[in-house]
Amino acid sequence: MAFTPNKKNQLLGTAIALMFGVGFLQSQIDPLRNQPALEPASAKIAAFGGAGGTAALPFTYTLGALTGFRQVIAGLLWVRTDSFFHSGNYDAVLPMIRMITWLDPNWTDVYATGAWHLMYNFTDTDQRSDRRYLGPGMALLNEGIANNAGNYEMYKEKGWNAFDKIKDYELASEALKSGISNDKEYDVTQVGHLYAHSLERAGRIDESIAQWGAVIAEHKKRIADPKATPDSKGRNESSLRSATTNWEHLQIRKQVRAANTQPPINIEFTSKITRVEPKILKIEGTWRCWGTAGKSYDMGTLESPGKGVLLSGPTDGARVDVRLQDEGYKPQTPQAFSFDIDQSVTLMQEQISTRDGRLAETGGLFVAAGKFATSSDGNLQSVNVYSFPDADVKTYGLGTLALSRGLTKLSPMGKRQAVVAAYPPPRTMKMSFYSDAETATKFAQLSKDTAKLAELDKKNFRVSPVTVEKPGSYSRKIDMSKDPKMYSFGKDKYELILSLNPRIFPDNIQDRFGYSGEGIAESSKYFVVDKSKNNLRMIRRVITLSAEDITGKGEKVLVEK
Amino acid sequence: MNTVLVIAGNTISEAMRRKILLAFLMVGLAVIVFMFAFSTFSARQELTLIKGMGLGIISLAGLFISVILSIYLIPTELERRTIYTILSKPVTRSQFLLGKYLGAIGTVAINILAMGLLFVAAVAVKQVMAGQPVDAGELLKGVLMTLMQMILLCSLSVFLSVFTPPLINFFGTLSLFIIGSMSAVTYDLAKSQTSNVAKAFFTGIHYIVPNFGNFTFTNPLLNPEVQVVNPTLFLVQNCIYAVVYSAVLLILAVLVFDRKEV
Repeated sequence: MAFTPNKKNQLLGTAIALMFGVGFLQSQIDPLRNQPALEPASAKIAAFGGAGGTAALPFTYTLGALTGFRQVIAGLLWVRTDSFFHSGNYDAVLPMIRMITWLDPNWTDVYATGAWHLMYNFTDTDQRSDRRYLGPGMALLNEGIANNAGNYEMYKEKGWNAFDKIKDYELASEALKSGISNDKEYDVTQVGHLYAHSLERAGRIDESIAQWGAVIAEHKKRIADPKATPDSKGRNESSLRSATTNWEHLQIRKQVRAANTQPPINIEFTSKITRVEPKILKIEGTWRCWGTAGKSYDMGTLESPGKGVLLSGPTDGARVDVRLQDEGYKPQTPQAFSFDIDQSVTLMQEQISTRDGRLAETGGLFVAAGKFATSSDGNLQSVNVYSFPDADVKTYGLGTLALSRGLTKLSPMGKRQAVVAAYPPPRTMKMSFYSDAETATKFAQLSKDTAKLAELDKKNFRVSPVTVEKPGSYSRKIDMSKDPKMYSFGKDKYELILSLNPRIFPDNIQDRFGYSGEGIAESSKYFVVDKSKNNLRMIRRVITLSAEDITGKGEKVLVEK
Repeated sequence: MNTVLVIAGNTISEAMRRKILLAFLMVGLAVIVFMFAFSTFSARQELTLIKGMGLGIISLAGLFISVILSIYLIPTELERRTIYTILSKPVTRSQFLLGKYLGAIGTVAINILAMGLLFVAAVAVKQVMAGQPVDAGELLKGVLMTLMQMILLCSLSVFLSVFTPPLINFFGTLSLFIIGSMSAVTYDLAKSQTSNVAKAFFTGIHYIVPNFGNFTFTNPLLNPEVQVVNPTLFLVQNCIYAVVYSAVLLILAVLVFDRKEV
């Protein structure tokens, strides 16, 4: 039974009317569909290639990406990227990451991994990072932030990379603060704690204390949240404990460091630069790296703060920053991400540990360690008993007076050292120091204990007739000859910058030099105040070298003292 | 209405006999494989990959089930001449067509929902194993969008099947699916043209060709942090779009089928 003409017309009319309805609906859907969260414009760039004809997807992938399988393509590329990474084909990883972030600009893990890859994994033969990639890495994170402004993850990544890799604590603080303010669901431990640490490293101590306070309040709030899972509660409780400790310690340290950093120490920074072979520099020198050791720090409690530094002396651990770069080079973060870098730039950065600083005071103990000096144990370090190799014993005129024969020559500190050497305090004891009364009693006991004295003599404990200090030393041979792509040396002039930044010193050394170098004497050679870093007092020596200095043949001392 | 439903029921039974559920089995296996395939990634990345791949496989399987089922819907009846037996009974051509169509989308719906539920359950298990909050239910929105997309695709294929042979219908449906899925590009092209003719052409394509790209809702499901403006309105509008456009195509199919010599 066929339709009547009238019925057909009715049906056709209905279809046409509905088609207008479809058009109207589409006009309503378009603005919603075209929001970046659903249909990012960059997906089309991935398909058709970016500006300058950069990476574009193969045709089959393009078709897939444009027909609703965008995330599938992104996922497949990511799996492929992972296999490239694990096979060491790092160069292939970057274009893949570029395309994946275009296809799925909300996949924050890809930005994070890409930035980590750029900033950490491109290295020279000696595993020094190619720091020319720091700018592109940060630009990638900035793009990630722009595409995910309401998600703390990207701010956290930027903050961490600025903190750990670039060591720009103002930049880190700014990023982490934005993460907190833009995403209420931010991870308190990852973002809130790091923000407090960044503020401390930036020299903004009061703000750091306030941030720890905010972190503690936030942890408590999340623990009390009835919707919190047991796992989340557990993590918050654990983080609350560490936040509380940090908050208390920071306040105590702030209070005691004002006195502990005085009088300031003249750093006496020296350096010697030698070209060993073409593009191989030996960088060495000395400086007075002081701090506390072992248990010679009295923290106390927030209600009853301790004295802080009980005894300080030469110690190991702080690092000298060494940077070799084209003269006048200023690191920059590009406006838009590109993994192309200026290959003509030469940029090398290294950190060299300081060690072997030693001290012997008149009437104090030292250990004659034979051919090689060894580190003394923790208790002895806590009372500044250092080991000196024979060569140093001779050079510094430390003599050969054995403890058993030099008891009468011991200074009050020497007696304390002898008591600790003879009767080490139990490991559980909070501080290694015996009280004055205990020291007197135990010293009297030691004076009569010939067996113990003989044992200490056998271990080469000696009494120093003079006060001498051997400064800490740093030394590293830096080979830039094997990586011509990283170190092209195409320019005429270079800057070799040696610096000591107290903000990145370990706590036990910072206890003596302060958060911002308050314990560094202004009379120290190469002392500078960096006003761009919240009045950071530091050591900074800039040496200008010519290309010939670095690439020339034969061994040559370029700088001495 | 009863007649339509009887035809639809028969169509579903017949489709099931064609072992079309094998697609469901295939997807089930794929999901299980995916659950272990990405274990070298972090738990979160693994879940992102599983979700993305899972939704993609459901879409792809749904696409092939819909097209292959729909293109043979009418031609098979003509070829086997079973249509004469049916139409000799008190069944109108429009009832026959509607019944076949409802049977096709019923089959597609059963498959997609089965695949979707298996997938959602697998994701939920994975989330529990990873100690992450279970938000797998959200993924059903993605499954729903795939279903609506396939309902529209079935309508298109059924419409074409009343006047084209299966092979041409297959390529025609797939071509229109690709063009309709790329409507974000045609939309941009329409806006960027300086020539009025070209602008009208691309605008026409954007509004006339079924807009399959509308139904892509994967991003917020993979990245729950993204802020989507009015997601509910978007989903509702798309459901209405699929239903209304399908109605248009079915009316046109009925009109053409009514004049067709069988």
